[in-house]
Amino acid sequence: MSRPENENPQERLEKTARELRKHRPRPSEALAARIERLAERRTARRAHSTRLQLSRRRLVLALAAALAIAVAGAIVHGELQSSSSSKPVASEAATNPKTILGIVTHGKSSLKRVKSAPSASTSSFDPYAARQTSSGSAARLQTLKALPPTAAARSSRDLTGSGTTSTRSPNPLANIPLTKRLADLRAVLTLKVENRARLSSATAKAMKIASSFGGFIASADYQAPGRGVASSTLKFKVPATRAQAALRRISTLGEILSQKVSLEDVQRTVAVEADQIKTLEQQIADLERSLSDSSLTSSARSQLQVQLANARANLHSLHAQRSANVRRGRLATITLTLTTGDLPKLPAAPSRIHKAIDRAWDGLSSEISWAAIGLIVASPFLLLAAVLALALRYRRRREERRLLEK
Amino acid sequence: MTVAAVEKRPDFAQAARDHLDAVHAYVAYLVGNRSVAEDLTATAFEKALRNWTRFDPRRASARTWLCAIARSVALDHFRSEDRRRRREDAYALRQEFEIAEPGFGDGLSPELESALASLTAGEREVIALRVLLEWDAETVARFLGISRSACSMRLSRALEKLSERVASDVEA
Repeated sequence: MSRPENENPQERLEKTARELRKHRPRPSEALAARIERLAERRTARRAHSTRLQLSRRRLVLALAAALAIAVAGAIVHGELQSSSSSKPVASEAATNPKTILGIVTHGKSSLKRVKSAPSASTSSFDPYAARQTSSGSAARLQTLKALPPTAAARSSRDLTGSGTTSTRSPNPLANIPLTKRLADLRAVLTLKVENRARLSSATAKAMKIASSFGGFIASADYQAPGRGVASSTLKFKVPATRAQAALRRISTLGEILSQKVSLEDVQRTVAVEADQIKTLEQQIADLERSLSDSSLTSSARSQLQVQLANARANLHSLHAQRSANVRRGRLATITLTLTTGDLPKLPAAPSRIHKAIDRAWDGLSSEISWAAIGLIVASPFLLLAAVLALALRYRRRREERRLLEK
Repeated sequence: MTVAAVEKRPDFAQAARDHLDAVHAYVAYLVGNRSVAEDLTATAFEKALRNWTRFDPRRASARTWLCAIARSVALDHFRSEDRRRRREDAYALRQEFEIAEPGFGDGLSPELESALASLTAGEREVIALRVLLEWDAETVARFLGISRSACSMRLSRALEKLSERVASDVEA
């Protein structure tokens, strides 16, 4: 290959390229035959590979179906949960002897009756549950069902008697069934007043009403910030027998936004405590009599003395407990909140389908959150794996470069 | 892979027939030895046959895919050769087998043949892809995992070097 002296470098490169293309290496016949044999082998195996492709497709379809089933399962689960949670409260109340009457209203027109356990606080009140118990004409208290055994049953009978008359009353506060039995009456009332001036005067009036009914203020909290809603919260104790009248008077101080009245019979508890006290007093008398016997051994005497001390301590605590219960039964607790603002609106009760969707979504969200937790836990390892993969890739590239530079 | 992609995939036999020349030429330039190139090309096609179901025509042409397999086979060969050399260096038994049958094409001038042999595998590779197989710069850059400008620079340097070697051989 000869090169003229005055040849242009570009031309020279092109000439070289042309020569390279022209004398490009060709595969030998042996190699061509070998590849041909390979190709024939491939043709024979084609049917198998088609099957393989189809099975891969099936795998993708199976995964999609599994995902769809998971979502459908979550929806069905949600639907089942929603139907089980919407059992009538009344039936639940019938099986729960501790259930005592509670009256809750929210807004002016809807009066609801819900069960409330004696120890349950007002914050545990579920407005949806309350709505489920109310009938179409929600503004009326429904007929009270007699609650099972013992005092609860007696108390509810009493309450029912009073309640039936009160169903006709437009004022739910008139529904409070009062008897001479000891009962722990708790009322929570939220009233709206027009402005701050009215708030101040209404607070003062409420205090006067409480004292006029022979009650007293247990706590008071008046909040009137520079801007926004002002409110005052008062907690009264009034004699239970006059609680209904007091509530009626108090409710005239403003527009009723919400009210909750719960009544727990404590007569039975007090009676039981009285019986226990009597028994203990009898025991103490017996023990004292035994101790007066001079023929007692010193160990028997000391044993009896211990028993006597215990019985006296028990008697003392029972007296205190009984007094507290009697006080609880004689004094009703009224918690009044006066506010210049409105209560936040309760969301509309969701339909069965909505609830099912909500629960399905909750299920899916929890799955997602678990997946996220898994991801968080695995992330250091994933990061490490990614770093390792990058390092290996870099190393491979470097090695390739080194090999190709030889 | 979708059914459409499977349907679009060419027949292996046809692809092998169509691209054997190109793959062989590429491997021959890469390893610089015709008999080794033949073996490696055959190995590459066997590997391609085994993995033909994985070939997705939407991602690359059959020729590019076959060349990528051939490259990986050639790199494996380089690695094993490297290990062999190191092992033999350790025992001082090294023998030169590689350039026993140099061959970049029948009819190439001895100067060009020797100039090509003096280039590195990487330089010969870029010449094979750009000049022999006439791939565009973009495809080659993607294939080699480098930028387009790096690819062009590598080609121009390789050709320059080749040209210089040829010229010096002629002068000699």
